[in-house]
Parts: sequence; structure tokens; C-alpha cells
Amino acid sequence: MKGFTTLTSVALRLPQRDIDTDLIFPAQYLTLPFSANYADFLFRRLRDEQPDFPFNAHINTPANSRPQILIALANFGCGSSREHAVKALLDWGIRVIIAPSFADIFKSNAAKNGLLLIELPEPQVNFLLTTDSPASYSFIVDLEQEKITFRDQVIPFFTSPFLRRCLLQGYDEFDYLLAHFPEIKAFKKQRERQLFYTTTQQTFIS
Amino acid sequence: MKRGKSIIDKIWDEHVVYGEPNFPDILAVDLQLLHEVTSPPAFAELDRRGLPFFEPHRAIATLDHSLPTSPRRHLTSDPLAGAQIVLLRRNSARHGVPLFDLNSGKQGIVHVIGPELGLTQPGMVIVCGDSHTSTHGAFGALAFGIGGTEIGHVMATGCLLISRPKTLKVEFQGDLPAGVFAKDLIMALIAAIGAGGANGHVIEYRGAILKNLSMEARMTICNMSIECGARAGLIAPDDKTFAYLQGRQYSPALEDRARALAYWQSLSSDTDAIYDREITLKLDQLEPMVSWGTNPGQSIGISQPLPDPDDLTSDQGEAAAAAMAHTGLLPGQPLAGVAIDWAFLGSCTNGRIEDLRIAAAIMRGKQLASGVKMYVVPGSEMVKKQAEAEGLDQVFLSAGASWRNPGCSMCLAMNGDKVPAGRRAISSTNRNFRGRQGPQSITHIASPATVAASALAGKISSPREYFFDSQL
Repeated sequence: MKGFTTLTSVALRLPQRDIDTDLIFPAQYLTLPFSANYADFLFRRLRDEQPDFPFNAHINTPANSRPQILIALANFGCGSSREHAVKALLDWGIRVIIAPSFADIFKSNAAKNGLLLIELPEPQVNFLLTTDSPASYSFIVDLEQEKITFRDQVIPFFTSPFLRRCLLQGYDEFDYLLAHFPEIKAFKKQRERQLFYTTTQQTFIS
Repeated sequence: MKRGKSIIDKIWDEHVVYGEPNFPDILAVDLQLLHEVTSPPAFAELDRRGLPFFEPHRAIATLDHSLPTSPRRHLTSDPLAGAQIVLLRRNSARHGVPLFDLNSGKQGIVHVIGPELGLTQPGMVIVCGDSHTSTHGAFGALAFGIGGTEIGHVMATGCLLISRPKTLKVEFQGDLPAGVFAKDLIMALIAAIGAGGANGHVIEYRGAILKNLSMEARMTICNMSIECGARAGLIAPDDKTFAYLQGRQYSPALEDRARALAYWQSLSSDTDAIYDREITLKLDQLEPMVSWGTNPGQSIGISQPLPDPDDLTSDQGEAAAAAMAHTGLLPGQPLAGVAIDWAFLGSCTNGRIEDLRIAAAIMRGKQLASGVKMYVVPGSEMVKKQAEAEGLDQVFLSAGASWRNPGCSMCLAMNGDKVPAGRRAISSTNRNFRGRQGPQSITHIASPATVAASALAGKISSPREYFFDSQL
């Protein structure tokens, strides 16, 4: 997972609440292999149906020059647990999303993939969404200092210590779990007593 | 100060392998359910790291999402879907995970087969790469959806890294009126608190009504927990739960039954349990619920006038106006009477035998309204067989509906079953997101009874008239 310290970018604005993962990554694309690049399928239906959808302004922008920040309203990422939604955003070029709130499973998936989610109070998000000269001003997102600088404003934000460690150091949750494997195996041996069936004869490799 | 624990606290505490301050807990998983759409990248990661599947005896797999429901479903015309199906067969065989494949007699939607096989038991932590895993909470299990990376974590370590959620107690007061069902109850809750109302929380559902609801009705309620933002929602087990778990394929063996019951009976909230939040919902005045917008929170009683976006707070108002523009409805109009083109009965929410029975009771001897198409998709091979034994399939076929094979079908338009562009469907599913059932289609979610009544009328219709007659 790619590490992350600071990022400077303009932002795309989607002043909509309850943006669900069917919008972000329609189900019809869930048969695509996970190794594919999902950038073309990000918000595919909205992009097709609405010529002025914000992401359409960057059809011809090379992937590494696109806006890396997205600003949206409450409950972003609700609905299906599909991690494809996070991957599509990252493949397109988004690294940071700012919103008043995010759906729980989307938050988990984002953390696993290095997509930084920043929750800010609604008035601050509204300010960032509606302030003058929206498109051309850059944001500086500093994960180490936990602050966003936008024009003359410095906006603090909070990230959980564990998440910050993972993002700053590119630290992998998988490795954290594997590091505790001896404790896990001991626990599982005990837990077997409270479970009353097995689905196959083969029990775990101990 | 020692304080009472909720059932959520008890199950969580019992499953923490390791936890350190400011870090998520390492939570042990007791059952992992796999299907063909979300398992591939997880298996690939296992291979990439050269790790074995740690607990194949604590996992099962089935086919449901991208599988066709047509009579010749073993021949999908979509090569990518076909590849996913082949891949799951190969992966599950390689790692020793049992696969309930086509014509095993046990294949079906993953959240339908888990309970009916007796895999879902009280006190378990159950995960799957699907947000409606919350369904299994009906048995007093802590069950939630996870993403692809997390699936890989569970495959390799049998554990998840996850922060302890907050707890929300939802207390139902009163009784459901005739013709109003579990689906309407949970939709009323979601309408009351909104699509993100329970974000960060796990719900415990309480209330005297629950004792009188069947396990399938409880599953409908828990299934839709995620639609108000709760990753999991559960109902403490009781005698109905224990009775349901008798004689199923994975039910405890006779010699284990007393021990299992003693453990299961301990799974209830202490009387002095403290929750982070509490809500009550009164049931006596509820009507059949139908969605009008583009998320499940945008739902209303079938005879009620749609809200005026101008009366709502600014972002809710804008969302409502945009949703009504998509669904082609007007403020102040009721949903009853809106013409429909398609009806869909099925899904992990309402694709079980009781759902089919209620719809069949309404539709017996009657015909679909002219021009209306209907798919009836039993949730599993077991449900299909039972329905056919009871002659329910004949009721649907005689009415002009299509009787299909088990799978997720038209819920999410990824397996060949879609609502065509511009068409309006009423569905017993869980989501009415924009384009969910097909690009530019319109979805109204509702109970099976409401779907059946509407299919016969050709317009959104209350099923209540069928229930004032005590014959039903």
C-alpha cells in the first residue's frame, strides 16, 4: 500500500449526500478482474448520463495530473461493501475525500487501500464546497500535522492513530495480523469449544 | 464501576483475541461465507503471499450474484461471469472449502442458505464480502459485511482488524397492523433515521413484537440494518431461534445440544446494559411502506403524500428533489396508484418460503395486470423445492409470472436479469439506488405482499385489503 505524507491538489466537488457505491462503481462491472484498471468505470452511469458531471471535465487529463481530492456531502460511500468502489477512485487518481461523514464499510475499505478519508463538520465542508473560485485553488493536505490548508484557512482534522501509522508508513494490516498469529492460533483452539459444527473434516493447520 | 453488558458487548468481548489502546481489536471470526464476486481478489492475495487458507472448516462457498437465473443457468452468456464461477470452483476445491454448487440441492443466495443449513448460530461472528451479511444477526450472531482485503485477512488468519462499534438499541413498541410486515417495519425505521442514521453503530432490535415474528421475518429486519448505516444488527436468540436450529444439516449433534443451548441462552442483554444511543419506534399506526426516492431512507407509507423538498433541510431537500426527478414523482402525491411495469419477488431480504407463501396467497387464481412483467426468484434450491412441493410455482406461473432459478437476480442487474431503461419496478429487494436494477430504471422497494398486490393491479397498491379478510 502506498504511503502518504502531504498532498497538494485542486479538488473536485460533488455537493451531494448519500453517494452510494452503486453510483461509484455500478454492479455490472463487478465481473471484471480486480487486476484491471477501474478508472473508466468510476461513476460510469453518472458520467454517461450527465455531460457536466465534474469528472467529465478531466476525460483528457492524464491520470497523474488529475485532481486528487474529492469533496462531498454526508454519508459518502453508503450501500454495498464492494471494495471496487475504493479501487475505482484510486485508479482514477483520487487520494483524499473530504465529507461530513462516511459509511462504515467504505471507511474500512478505504483504510486498507491508502485512500484518506477526512471527516469535517458540515459547515466547514459547505464552505469548501461553495467558496469562490472553486476549481483553481489548491489544497494542501498534511497527514502528519493533520491539517488542510486552503487559501488563507488552516483546517485541522482528526485521524485515528492506527490509520495514520498505516498511511504514513505504508504499514500493512495483514502484516499486523500475521505478527499476532501465535496468539490467534491459541485463541482459536479455545474457541472451538463454543462452536458446534465443522463444514469439512479438515481442521486448521496448527 | 461494573456495568451491564448488551448482547453486542458480550459477543464482542468473547471474540477479542488481542487489543491495544488506540488500535482496532483483532476479532476472531467463526464463519466466513464466500461467493464468486468478492472472493477472487482475496484468494489471489492468499496465493501472492503463499499463505494457506487457515480454517477451511469454518467457511463455505456458493454461487449467487453473477449467476443467471434462467432455466439453462449453467451456460452464462457473460464470459466474465462464467470465469468468476469457474474460478470459485477451482479456488474452493484447492483450499478445501465446501462449495454448494448448482444442483447440489443447497445452492442459493448466501444469506438464505446460511440459516437454512443451520450454519448461522447464536453468538457467532459471521462475515462475508456482502453488506447484507447483517441478515444473520437474526440469530443473535454478530454478522457484517467486509471488503475484499478483509476477506483475505480472514482467509489467512481467521480474524479481522476492526474497531469496536457503538451500540444502538432500537425498541419496537406495539403490534404490526394486518397487512403490514417485517419489511415495512424495518423500512419505517430507515425512513425515520435516514440512510446514514446508524453509521458507526451496531443495532440491537428489541420489543415484544419480536417474539411473535418468525425467524424469516427477523432475517428481513436484520438484513436491512446496513441500509440505515449499521454494519450489523441483531436480535437476541429465543425459543423460536432454538426451535429453528433443530434438525438442520449443521445443527448441533444430539450430544452437544444441551451445551449449545446453555451457551445460546446466555446471549441476551443485561437489564442494566448501557447503549450509546436508543431509539423507539411505534408500530401501531404503520402502513405498508414503499420507497419513493434513490435510497432506502426515502420511503413513506403507501397512502402518504410525498414530502416537499422545500420543507426539508438544504442537502436533504436537494437530495429529495434530485431523487424525485429520477423517479418521476411529485411532492404531495401518494405512491398508491403509480403505474408499474415490473414486479420482482426475491432477494436475500425477501426470497424465502414465507415471502413466497404470502405473495402466492394474494395472487392465487389471479393474473398479472396487462403489460406487467414479473420475476419470482426463490432464494435457494431448498426454497425452490419447498415452494414447488406446495404448488406455489403454479400460482405464479398461472398468474403470468416467470418462475426462476435461485440467485440474486434482478436485485442488482449484474447477471442478465435487469429492469429495462425507463421502466418502473416494484421489488421485494433492499436497495432503490439510482440505476440499481438496470441503467435508467426506477425501483420502488416494498414488502412481498405489496409487490404481489401491485403486480396484480398494475400500479403500486396496498395489500391490506387482502388481510382484512381473515381467510388469508
